[in-house]
Amino acid sequence: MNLELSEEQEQLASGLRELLVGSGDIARVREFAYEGGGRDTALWEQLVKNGWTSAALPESAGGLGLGFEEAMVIAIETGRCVLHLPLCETLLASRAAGRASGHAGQGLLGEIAEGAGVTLAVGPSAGGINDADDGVRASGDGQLSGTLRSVPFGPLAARCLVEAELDKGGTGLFALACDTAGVEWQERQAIDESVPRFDLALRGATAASLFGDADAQSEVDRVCDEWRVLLAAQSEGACRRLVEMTADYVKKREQFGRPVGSNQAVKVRVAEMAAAVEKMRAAIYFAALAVERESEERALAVAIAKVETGVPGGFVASQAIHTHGAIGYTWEQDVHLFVKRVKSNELLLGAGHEMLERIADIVVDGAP
Amino acid sequence: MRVDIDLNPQEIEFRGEFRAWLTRNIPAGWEPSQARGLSHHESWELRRDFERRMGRDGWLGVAWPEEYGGRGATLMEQVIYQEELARAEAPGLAGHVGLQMVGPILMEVGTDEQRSRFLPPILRGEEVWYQGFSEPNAGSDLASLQTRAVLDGDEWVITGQKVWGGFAEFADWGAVLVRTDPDVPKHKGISFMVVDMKSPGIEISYIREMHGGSNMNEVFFDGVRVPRDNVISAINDGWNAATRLLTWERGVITLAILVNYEIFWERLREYARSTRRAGRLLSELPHVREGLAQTYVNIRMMKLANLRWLAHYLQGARPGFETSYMKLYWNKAHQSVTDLALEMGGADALELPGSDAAPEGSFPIEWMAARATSILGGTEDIQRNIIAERIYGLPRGN
Ligand SMILES: Cc1cc2nc3c(=O)[nH]c(=O)nc-3n(C[C@H](O)[C@H](O)[C@H](O)COP(=O)(O)OP(=O)(O)OC[C@H]3O[C@@H](n4cnc5c(N)ncnc54)[C@H](O)[C@@H]3O)c2cc1C
Repeated sequence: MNLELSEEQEQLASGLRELLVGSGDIARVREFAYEGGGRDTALWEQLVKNGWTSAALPESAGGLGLGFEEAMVIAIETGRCVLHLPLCETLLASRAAGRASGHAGQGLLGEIAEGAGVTLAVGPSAGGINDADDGVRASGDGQLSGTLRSVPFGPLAARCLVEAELDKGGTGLFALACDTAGVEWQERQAIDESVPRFDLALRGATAASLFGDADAQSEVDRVCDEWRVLLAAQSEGACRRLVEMTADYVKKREQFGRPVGSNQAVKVRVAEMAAAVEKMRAAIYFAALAVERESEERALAVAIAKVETGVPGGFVASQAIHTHGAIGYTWEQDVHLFVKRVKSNELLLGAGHEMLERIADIVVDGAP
Repeated sequence: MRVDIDLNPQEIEFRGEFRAWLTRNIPAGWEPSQARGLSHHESWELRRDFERRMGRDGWLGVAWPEEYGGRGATLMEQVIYQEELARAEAPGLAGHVGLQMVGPILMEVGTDEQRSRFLPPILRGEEVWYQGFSEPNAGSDLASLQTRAVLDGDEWVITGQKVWGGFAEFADWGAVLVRTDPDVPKHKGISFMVVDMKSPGIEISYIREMHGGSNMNEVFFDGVRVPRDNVISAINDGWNAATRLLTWERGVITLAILVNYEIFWERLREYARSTRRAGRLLSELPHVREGLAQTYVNIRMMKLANLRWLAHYLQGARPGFETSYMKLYWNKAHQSVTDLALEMGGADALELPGSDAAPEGSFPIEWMAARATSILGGTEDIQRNIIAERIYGLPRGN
């Protein structure tokens, strides 16, 4: 990839798209995530069988050994169909486990190879969205206690990577079985129902530290940065689909005896949406490259990707609703499913202004 | 300057009187925390009961002229009235279509019989109206509507479909636009009819909105019979009456809505003053301060711009194309303040009301509702066309 996808990467994208569209696409998201259809084990198993959940595992661990650019390509497709399963999170966990040296990392890699889905309880939400939040502490023998809010997918995944304060100080990253003793999940009500969210309460739950006693703060930061890029990539996929849906709609919808899309005002809206999305694509490619190559510009590139999909994502979402007219405001129309994902991703792991501050630290103050 | 910005003693008294009345009369069980648990019908009953009490005590249609039973309230009193209603968290007036749209139109173009039949029950809070204008294929191009009315003896027979209006199931009367002459240019063959919403042949279903609630209806008319005299204004002159009504919708009604934005903004300010992120109060962060200041200005300017035009109406001017400006300011105020709410709330703002993390005032629901503001009552694009073409004479696109 050189700010453009290679042929293999294009094939990867179309392969996943075929699978997701073939399995029911948006209708399936509605059925399982929005209309309470329960756990979608069938689709997860299909993803496992076709190697998608182990895509980021090293080949030695039974995976495809794909890198972060490919993870981004996969994330775009999950955004295009607002996938209701923890595929991106599992890819990120695979990468973190691959970087770990000991048993814990190997164990998690093995479980992912067997088809386990993994979710993440790290970053600003783990440290507490508000200062009132609690956070998790680890005892010397690897027992976790504390509470975390709003963990995506929660018990719908098999394992969870948890950020916790080590008893000797520093930060650890732990692999936790979602149904082990001392773990309690409580579902929340969030707008993007395609990513169900849960509060996690831990009371002496046994978990395995991926990085032993060492302070793993830089690993946690890295997982968060990679997660930001995948959220941004999802938003790009969702926004691009919104542009396509909107363009299709205004070509067909007629008022005043002609397609509403023939009005300059409507063309401007569609064109501005499209221009925002093409810029997003460049931003996420840049961020994926920076992560993959461990570039010095990683922090900057990640923040740019988040900024470019943040407020502009909200813009594309709002315009998509508006340009559909009243239909775009209904539950029945698919627009809102994408809008909710895009607005959520904008606000998760640092909204635009936090990312802008990060950028200012780097480009104005010369911070690393 | 025709708008006084300070209240005079009479207005201060008016505020006191209405506030005291509200304190005594807001229905028990209506507090936001409890109201959420009410079923559609239960909440409807509470609202109706409250509205009848308002009517009984002369608190409906305060802006109506005294000759029609109103209070002939001054502009400032109307503003005060809306503020007090909103601040008391009173139920939204289900009768607003009758009070703020149908009533004024009847006063302008209705017959004496129509006025004496329909105005008093609106004012007493006894009869509620449904606005049946839009159709699946007639949105921005409302004049292309296809719902037909054919004269059969002494009755009109209506067949067709309306969409997006609310309260259809509970309404007594419908203000419905129908095509009475299909053979003339589209604006010239439309009539404005009063339809008894309990008539045989009417079927009503609900539309679910993006936030999950259902306040809008689809209404199907299958051979619905309406007395010949139930036409407001002349036959085939409905378009004029309807556009005047829409003008009111964009104009005066925005004052009522505005107060809700002011309250929403105050909640945001309180949220900023009481919420810490990374050790700092939100209200200390430069982008939050700027955002609060800018949205304050947006809302304040929506108010001032509206008051400026409303002052003209009080002098006898009729609402005209300038109401399109009001609609633009209204949309800007609403969308920007809800954008800011989500930005400030961050991940917490993704939570739906009822969750312990969700900030008061349901940020995401309000954000979604604000997306509809650029669509309803004539879309933003249509308002811009009106301003450019009707006020400044730019060549017509269509
Ligand atoms: C919350 C809500 C409440 C409503 N309440 C009522 C009600 O009580 N009663 C009622 O009758 N109706 C009601 N409506 C319907 C509303 O009036 C229509 O939705 C509106 O007029 C737009 O029509 P449409 O949805 O069919 O969109 P369309 O007309 O299909 O428009 C689609 C898009 O094309 C654009 N467009 C269309 N024509 C042009 C043009 N010539 N130039 C530039 N752009 C153009 C529009 O701006 C829009 O973005 C409500 C709608 C909403 C969302």
